Amino acid sequence: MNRRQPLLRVEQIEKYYGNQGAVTKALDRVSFQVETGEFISVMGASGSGKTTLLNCISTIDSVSAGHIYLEEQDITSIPEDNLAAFRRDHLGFVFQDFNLLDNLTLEENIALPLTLHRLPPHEIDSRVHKIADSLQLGDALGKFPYQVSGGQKQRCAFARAVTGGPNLIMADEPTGSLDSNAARILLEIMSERNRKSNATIIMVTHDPFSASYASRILFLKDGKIFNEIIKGEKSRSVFYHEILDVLSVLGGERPC
Amino acid sequence: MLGTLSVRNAKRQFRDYTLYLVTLICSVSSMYAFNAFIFSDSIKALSELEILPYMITVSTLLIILVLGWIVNYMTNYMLKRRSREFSIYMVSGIPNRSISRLIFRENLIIGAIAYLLSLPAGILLSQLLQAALLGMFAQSYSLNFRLSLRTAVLTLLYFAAIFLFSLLKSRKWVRRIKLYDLLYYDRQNEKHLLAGRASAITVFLLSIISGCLGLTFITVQPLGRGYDYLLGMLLLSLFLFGFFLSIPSFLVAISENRIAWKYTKDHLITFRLFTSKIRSMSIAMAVLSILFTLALTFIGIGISASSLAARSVSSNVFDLMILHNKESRDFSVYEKLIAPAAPIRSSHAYNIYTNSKQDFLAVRGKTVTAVGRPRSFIYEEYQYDTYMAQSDYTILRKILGYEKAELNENSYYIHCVPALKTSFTSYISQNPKITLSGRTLTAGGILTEPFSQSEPYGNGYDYIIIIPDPIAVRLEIRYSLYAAITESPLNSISLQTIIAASHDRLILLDRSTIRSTNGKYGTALVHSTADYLTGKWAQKESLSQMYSFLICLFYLALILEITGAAILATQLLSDKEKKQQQDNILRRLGMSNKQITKQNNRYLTLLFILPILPALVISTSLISITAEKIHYTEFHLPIFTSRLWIYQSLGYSLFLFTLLYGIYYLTARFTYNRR
Repeated sequence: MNRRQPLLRVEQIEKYYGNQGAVTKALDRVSFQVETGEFISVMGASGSGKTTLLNCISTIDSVSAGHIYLEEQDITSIPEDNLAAFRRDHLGFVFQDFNLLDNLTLEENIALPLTLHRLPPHEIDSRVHKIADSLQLGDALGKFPYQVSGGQKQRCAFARAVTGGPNLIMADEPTGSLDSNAARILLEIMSERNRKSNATIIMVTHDPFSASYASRILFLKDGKIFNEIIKGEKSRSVFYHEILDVLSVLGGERPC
Repeated sequence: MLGTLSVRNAKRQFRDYTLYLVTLICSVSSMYAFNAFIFSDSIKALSELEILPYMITVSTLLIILVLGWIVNYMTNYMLKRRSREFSIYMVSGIPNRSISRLIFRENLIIGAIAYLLSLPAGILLSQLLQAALLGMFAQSYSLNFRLSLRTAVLTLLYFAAIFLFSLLKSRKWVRRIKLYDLLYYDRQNEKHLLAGRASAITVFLLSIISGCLGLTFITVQPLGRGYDYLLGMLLLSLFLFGFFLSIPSFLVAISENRIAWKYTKDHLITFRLFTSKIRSMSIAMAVLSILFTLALTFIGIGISASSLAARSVSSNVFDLMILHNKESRDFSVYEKLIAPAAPIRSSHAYNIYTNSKQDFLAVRGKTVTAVGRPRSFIYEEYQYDTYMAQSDYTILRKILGYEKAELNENSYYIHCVPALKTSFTSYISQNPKITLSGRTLTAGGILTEPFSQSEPYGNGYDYIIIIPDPIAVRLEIRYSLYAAITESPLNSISLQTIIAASHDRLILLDRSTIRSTNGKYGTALVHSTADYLTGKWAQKESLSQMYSFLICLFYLALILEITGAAILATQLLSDKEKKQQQDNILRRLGMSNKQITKQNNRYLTLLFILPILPALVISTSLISITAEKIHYTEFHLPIFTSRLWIYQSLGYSLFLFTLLYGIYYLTARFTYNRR
């Protein structure tokens, strides 16, 4: 039988911080796989290793042991000089604090990774407008980040992450700085993108509501995978309550 | 507790603003070095430099104004960047009054350290400057690294005036500030002086018009009587402020929709960083551009004036010339006086002859008028053509080491300044023969090597006709000269000693003091019984005021440039933290470290070049105009036949400016890219 290869394969990765005097084990033999078109959420309490895991997958940080394969390429062995090009060609990022460049308009922020791809200017322009229209950013394109709402900023950051057509979109607490309405809009957009464009998303969050938009959730505790739940055919509401149940066992944050 | 905090804060300030504080130390040490001239006994001994202390005092007062503004600007800037820190003090219950005392104390520590560090550097610089200055006047100087208490006190007074003004102003700011303002200071929107795009484009175009008008007023001078300079400078200042206020919006307006350019290479990020930075420091950029314009202009004028002086001195080929207002006499009495101070290598005494002909004088007159100079004063001694005997000419050429001229007994030759060569060539082609004392001579040629004749009372005045000896001796003797080359230079003290030893029979020739003889003519030989000392060393003496002026110009230029460059570099480096956050974002988006460094370098280069561009345009015009003006007014005939010397002066001044500016640029670049 011809079995399809996973998009991402994380194998026994470990990450240590500190020196000989005080070593902190941030990740402890973590292994999992992500198929193309999956929307995965990584949950866990503060200090559980969520962001470290994301940073290792996104090559921002290096692993102490183990391997990470993206499309069968071992990204832990990519030379330092080639990492930037790897990120540019394969990954898209969304951060809690948006990480937009203040002195670029939203349009230019979205266009920035495309200019790094050295695409022809007219193609950049057409791609930016297309993605901006789909994310309801058309009216705000000419504005600077300080002139728009948090929701618009995060949609812009999402547009920037997906416009280059990355293999994998990494989102680190993308709703952390948004009000509930803006968070819901963004999550719906991410979910739609995942469904319609088959985009693969890994989202780190400690918010169960945000996590309920994912199709699978990995729970981290003390640097290890503690549990994994799959949404399957369940409704989002049912899945949400299932997340809360796992969190209560995990000792994580539970909304009132 | 607050005392310890003041010391720690002062230490941190030194670390964070090293470049600015080092520049402040350099400025104060320069102040010490130049003010040391005022109290230096060696300088006081040089009577021709008596004007220098006054000039330095005026320059220092100008520098105090500039430095006062700069220190105030930087102190204010540093304080506002620490607003969050001050808010923490306030939240901790420290009253405004105590915070202002804390800031006052830490700045006092910084000021005291800067002053103390500047003293040794100042002493070293003052000794080097004095040695160089005295060297220009052929004086030897032994270095003496001792503190001049009077100079130190004077420098302290100047420094205190600069520093206390800004401290008192910042104290006022701290006492009035509210906690809310401090907490949210960095969230306040920048005040944009030009709100709309249309107004920015209008201001930009108006500023360009103002700049062009300013340059036109300065170069064409349609009004005359100095009003043009005043109006020109005013318009150029308006141009600079308008230009820097509007250029970011103007650039954005013309580039925003040019997708093809904007989305190519790294244009987008560099362009946006660049425009947002100049928008946030537009007024400072305008002031920096003014400082750089002045610095470049001062250096350029200094260099062009010294080129003129050097050229003028180089045309004065004999080290010493003694003029006797009658026929040849025995100059050996003077030789004995000169020899102890500067042994004579070679010398010759000879006559300058004249007759009643004015043919060549007329050619000279026409040339002077043709080159646009006002008709020069007619000296009694030069109302007719002047002549030299061929034998004297041959000896003088030999003394000067010139190639031997083959002189024909039936020919005459003209030795003139280069500016007259074309006119004389044209004249002798039409009138190849002259008749003198009944003999006809044919034109043998024109020679133009430097020959001590560009000023009156040398070997003729701009020209002399070389004729065979038998004809010369039949002409009237105008005056006699003793020309000598010495083994070593003669300084002003030696010259004064020689003059004193001659019991006032020998005096320095002052060409500017002219006695009218009969209303039409005049003479600078005002003492009938005296002989006159001229030549290279005597001419150098007369240039001493100009050298004093040049020293002050370089002093001003140095301070203006280093303080301006330090402000620019400090402003850029203070954004380093924010820029590093941006770089992290760019790195995550896939920009390599190499690309980021390249882009940062391009950004820094653009910011360093921008204030220089208008400064270059304006200063080039100012230097050219001033250099030409000096050339025009100080010399009745051009001593340079092309404009190459002006371009050379511009090139040298740009080179010197870039040398110093480059240090700041490279330091900023290195620090900025250090991760």
